[in-house]
Amino acid sequence: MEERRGDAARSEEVKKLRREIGGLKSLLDRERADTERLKEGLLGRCKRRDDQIRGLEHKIEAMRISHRADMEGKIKDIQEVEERLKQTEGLLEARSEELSGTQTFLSTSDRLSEVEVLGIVRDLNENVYQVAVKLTEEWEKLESSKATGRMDVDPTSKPRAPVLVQLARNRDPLGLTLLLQSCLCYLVVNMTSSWDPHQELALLGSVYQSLSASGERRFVNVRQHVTHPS
Amino acid sequence: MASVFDITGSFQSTQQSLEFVQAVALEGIESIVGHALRSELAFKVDVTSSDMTLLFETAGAKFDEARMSNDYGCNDARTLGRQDKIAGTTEVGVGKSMCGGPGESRREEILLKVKVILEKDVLENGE
Repeated sequence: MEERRGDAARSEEVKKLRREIGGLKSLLDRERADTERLKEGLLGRCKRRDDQIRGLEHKIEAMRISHRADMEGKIKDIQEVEERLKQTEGLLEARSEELSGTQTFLSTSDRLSEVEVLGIVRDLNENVYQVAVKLTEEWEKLESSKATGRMDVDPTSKPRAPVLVQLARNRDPLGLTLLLQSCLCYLVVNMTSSWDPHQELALLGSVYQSLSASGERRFVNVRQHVTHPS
Repeated sequence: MASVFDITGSFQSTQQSLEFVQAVALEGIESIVGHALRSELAFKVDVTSSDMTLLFETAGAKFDEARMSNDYGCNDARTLGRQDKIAGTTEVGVGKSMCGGPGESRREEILLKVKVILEKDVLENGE
């Protein structure tokens, strides 16, 4: 009796345990199903994320290609601008040189003052006087050493000759000095009047006059380059 | 210059006159030529703001106080007349002309008067 009771209790205990196991199995199945769903959900999300990442990668690649194309275009533009700048600089340099060359034509600044110029002319006059006096003195010495008189001059042959010529003809030393001075002055004026249109020996006078007549003052400075072409 | 000495009749030929001038004053004449070239350079290259020229008066022209000074005689205006005639130029002068403003003619100016001798002074002295 006692033994039967024990068996019944054990049997009951086994049943209970079997029920518990069955419950646990169904719980486990539910958990498995939940896990499976979660797994599938996660896999789906991962796939979507992967798709998104791939999409973004494509986008980035496309942007990179576009950016590179933009950059290459801009670099080309910059190179063209640099080339144009270089050409412009070359042109500017050439024009600057031309401008520098023409500046001398336009310049009206004097390199000598009037006082300095007059100093040169006064030295010239002094030289003329010295030469005339020296020639006269040497001529007087020569005359005083000569035994014979004058050679072939007839004072009445040219009655209307200038006064100084008459004096020289009469062997007047002062007249001779003055005549020499006058001749030297005439020589000097003719030498320095190549541009003067009013002088009879002015070779460049007509050129200068026509340039001046144009009214352009700067043309006057052309003479600098004609006189000194360097 | 040789022709001037021909006038005196002191030499038998122009060649002799020329030789005399060369022997006595070749260096001096070369110096004058150098000064003349320097003057031209100054007028034509160094000074461009105006046209400068050397001035010279021919024998027989009338004396003009504005452009000339009397080298030989007195420069007193009372003794100088417009009828006085020039015997020769002893020192060259300097004149300059400049463009006036728009519509104006050129302005002439004497910077250095030509030094001349008058016929009357030379003749008085010569006598």
